[in-house]
Amino acid sequence: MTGRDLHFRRIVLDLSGSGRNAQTAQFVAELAELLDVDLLGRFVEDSDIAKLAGLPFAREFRFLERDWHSLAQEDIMHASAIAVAAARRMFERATSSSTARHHFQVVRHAASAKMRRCDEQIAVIHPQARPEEPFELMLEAAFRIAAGVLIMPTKIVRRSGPVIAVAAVRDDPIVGLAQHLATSAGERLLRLNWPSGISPPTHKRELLSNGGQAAPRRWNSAMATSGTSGFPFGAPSERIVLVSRGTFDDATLSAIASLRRTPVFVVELDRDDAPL
Amino acid sequence: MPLDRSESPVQAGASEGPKPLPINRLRRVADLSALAFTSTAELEPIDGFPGQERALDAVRFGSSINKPGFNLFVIGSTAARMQRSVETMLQSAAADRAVPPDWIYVNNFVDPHKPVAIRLPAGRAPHFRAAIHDLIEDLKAALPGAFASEDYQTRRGAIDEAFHKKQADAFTELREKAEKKGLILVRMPLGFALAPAQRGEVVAPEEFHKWDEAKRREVEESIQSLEMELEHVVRQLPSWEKAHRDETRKLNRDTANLAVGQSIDEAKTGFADLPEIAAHLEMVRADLVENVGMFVTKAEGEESPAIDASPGGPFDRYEVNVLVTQEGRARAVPIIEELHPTLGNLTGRVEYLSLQGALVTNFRLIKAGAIHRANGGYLLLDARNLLLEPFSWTALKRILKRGEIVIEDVNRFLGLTSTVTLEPDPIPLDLKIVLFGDRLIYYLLFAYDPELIEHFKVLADFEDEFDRTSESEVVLARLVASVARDDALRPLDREAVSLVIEHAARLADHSGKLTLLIDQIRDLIVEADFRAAEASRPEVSRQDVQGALDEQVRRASRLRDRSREAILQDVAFIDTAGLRVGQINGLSVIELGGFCFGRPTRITCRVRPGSGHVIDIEREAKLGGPLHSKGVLILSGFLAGRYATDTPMSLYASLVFEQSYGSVEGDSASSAELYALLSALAEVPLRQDIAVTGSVNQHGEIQAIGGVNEKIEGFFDICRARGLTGTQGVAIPKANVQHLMLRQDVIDACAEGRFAIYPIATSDDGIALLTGRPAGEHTIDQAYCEDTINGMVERRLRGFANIRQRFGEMGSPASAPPISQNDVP
Repeated sequence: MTGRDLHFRRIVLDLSGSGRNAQTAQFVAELAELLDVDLLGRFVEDSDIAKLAGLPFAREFRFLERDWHSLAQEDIMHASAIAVAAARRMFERATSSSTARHHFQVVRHAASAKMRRCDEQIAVIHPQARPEEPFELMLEAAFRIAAGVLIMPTKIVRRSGPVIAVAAVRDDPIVGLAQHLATSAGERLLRLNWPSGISPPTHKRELLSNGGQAAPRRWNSAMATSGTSGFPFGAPSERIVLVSRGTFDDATLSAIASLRRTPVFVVELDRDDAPL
Repeated sequence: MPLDRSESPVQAGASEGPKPLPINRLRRVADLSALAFTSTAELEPIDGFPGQERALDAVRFGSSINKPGFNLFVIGSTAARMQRSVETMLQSAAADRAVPPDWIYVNNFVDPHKPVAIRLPAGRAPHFRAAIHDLIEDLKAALPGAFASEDYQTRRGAIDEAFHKKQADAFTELREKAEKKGLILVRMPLGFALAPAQRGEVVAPEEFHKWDEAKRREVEESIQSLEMELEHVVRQLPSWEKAHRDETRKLNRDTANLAVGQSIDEAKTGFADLPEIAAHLEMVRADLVENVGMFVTKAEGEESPAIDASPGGPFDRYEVNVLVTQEGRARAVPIIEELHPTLGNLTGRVEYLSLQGALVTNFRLIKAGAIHRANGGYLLLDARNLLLEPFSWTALKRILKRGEIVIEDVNRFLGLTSTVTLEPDPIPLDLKIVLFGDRLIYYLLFAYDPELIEHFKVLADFEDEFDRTSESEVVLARLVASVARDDALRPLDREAVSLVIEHAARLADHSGKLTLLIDQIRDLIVEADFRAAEASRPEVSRQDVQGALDEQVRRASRLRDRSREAILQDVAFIDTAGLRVGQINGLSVIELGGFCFGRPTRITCRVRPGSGHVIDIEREAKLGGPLHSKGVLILSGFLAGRYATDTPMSLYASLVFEQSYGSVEGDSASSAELYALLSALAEVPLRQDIAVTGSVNQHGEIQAIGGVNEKIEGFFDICRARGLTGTQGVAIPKANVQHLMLRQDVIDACAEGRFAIYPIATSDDGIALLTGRPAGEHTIDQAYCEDTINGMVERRLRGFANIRQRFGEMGSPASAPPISQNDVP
């Protein structure tokens, strides 16, 4: 996808992975309405799991019982059916009042198998729902199937507020997408210029490296007064952040979503525009 | 005016009987010679309540003494304006009492169904309520704002991030270990599993089975080892989650404390002198911090997770219910009158709201009763209204006994509801209760409720009348002036005032008394003023007052007129001339709807030999009340004591009120009955032109009765309607002469000699007047002279005794010898 051609047609919500979350599903349905795209709730039945049943000592440690269970084929299929049914119910409940075109799908393939990327597709990930999966791998896997990835926080704290577009270049197409979204949502658009390659402020790194124990108040006030070179989020409380991939590193993207508790929409596109 | 002995009646025993009363004894005219005025406009209106010294002293004492149980019970006629006089006195007594405090109810955060009562200095409760309200309004913005702030969100995000990082690190370490050992961590639908891997994919079973034994065993051992670690990680998740929650909770508390603290401290400074308020504000602070979760979820735009079953919003638990305040009161010390003393109106009530099919309540729905509002002052209640309301009287006594105000729910008494209710803190009682009632209610309560005297030790008994002197007539004149001023009436001229005073004596039913039922005087003056207005007179004249009196009678006298009509049309037989043996005109008074009128009734008597019984037919027919029966029974005693001291009483006599078909009560006709009996025995006729009233005792003394004026006027009206003969009149007890305040037309007829009032002291006086013969006295041999009434009666009774004796000796009438001339008188 080139910078001038930012057009999406579908959001794919992985209901077998990190996307099986009611709040996420509701937000994604709302986003689909605003962007006027289709919403696909997909449950992938991992065929690799079925292989486990044939292994002699394979067994499953279940969350609820906190105990081990042997992996018989019937058990795997039964568990999968339960999971599919639960995912379907959650998806349908979350989208029942949405006007977006939505569809629930069950596919069977190996999780490890590569799927074809679609540039008009948006994937959704919820890092905190899959702590066993490194964020970077999760993000990379999402970009393998889609040109846009929506990073969801644990809890969305703001249902309204401006749409923030972080522009790395002068004519960053992310701004156009953000404008379209802001207009649909009836919100303000805030453009923040962040030339690519510039690292986030040191104390934000400290915040991230120390697991959130640094002084956020100092950081926020510094951000509020830092102007275009600063991280802007001491000012209006944003509803969603849109940014091109590469503007921030992966850790920063995750931090924005988790620390600010706001969804981050990352778009991967070719950078052939003049820098700021 | 003292009795002029030169004008006393003729001594009993003379054939002429007693003489008629002189005119000046029939009505005592007003004497305002000591007061020079032409109209009430010149008179100084009177302050205070004359003639009520006994009652007012009691009120003064009762309102001043500050000991339990010394509440007031005020009795008397409502027309005596008891309440107004008591209220006036209480207002001056209230000036010496301290202003009572305010009371509020606030939420009990520990036990919400027991709201806490807090006392505040007078007038400060509304300010505290406003301060709390302002505090809450501030917090409504501040609290959500604090939790929506960048600072909070950042800290919260940092806590979440740290928690998730912890989880991620643990799984990352596990996964790296697995990779090193050629294993892969697989996410299952319901958990995790470890499996051998090649090139990042799970090894297929058929591939695995191709591996050699050693390699398979190695894989198995590796998996077992890592499964232990996996299990360890997953088992740690709940404790990490708990730590996450604890950190979040601490952050919420700290944030709430910061947000709430300044507002609470500001509110406290305004009430620093009230430790209870300060303590309550600290509890508010603690509760806000503890329940900040309600505001956090709202701040994040989510619906409150739990259904709030209590009415109102989440902040309502901090509001203040001002139960009673002295702010804005016209009087510093309350004087409250409760006109409808239901249990709820009196002791307060807890209200309920219907919420999703259930009845719910909270401390804000506590409503004050009259006792709360009057606490610290005085509460005025009508005793009859209080007793008519179920549970109110007993609840009042309980409160007085406890010395504190407890709100009672009548629905729980009756078992109508079993919903959750409140038990508010009781409020200490500091109250003086004044009950108003008529005498009957007081004495009935006193007889049947031993607790009455325990709580109402001070009786204030208001007089209905006071002595009539020249000074008291002046007082009444000034009272009339006060009434005219208070009601914005025309002034009354001197003659009008005189007539009002005379009417006041008539209302007191005594020429030597004046009524203190001021409302009745007021009603007369108001109507007289109306008549003066219609006649366009600037002042109310005697004519207007008389007209008002006449109209009052006319409006109420329909039944009297129908009764009179029946007599005049000979439907009811009443003779007003001639002589009849064993028949006399008795007089009764009928009271209907506050209007009294007199009515003559024929009383007849028949006699024959018998066993000594005087039969009261009214009593036999169960139409006679006990007092009437007593009067008739007294006649038996009189007869026996006078005529049968040496002879058995062998009389059978029957007495009846002819054409009387209703109940008869009282003994005021017993003298008339005696005269009829004596007439029947002596066979001497009685004058029908003289009606008789008076009670007689066993000694033949004529005793006073009630309604003497109405009785005289009732007979007079019949005689006048038929045409006065010049011999007609009424015989009244001598003891009733002092009660005479007759109508002017009666007095005029007496002055012209066409009617007469005879004072009777003994039955001998009466029988002499009615028969024209002397009653008779004992001779030396203890017998009465033969040609006297007593002698005739005595002889007749002896004859009856002989007849009876003869029948007794013979055993039957058939064998009885013929009756000789000597037997029959």
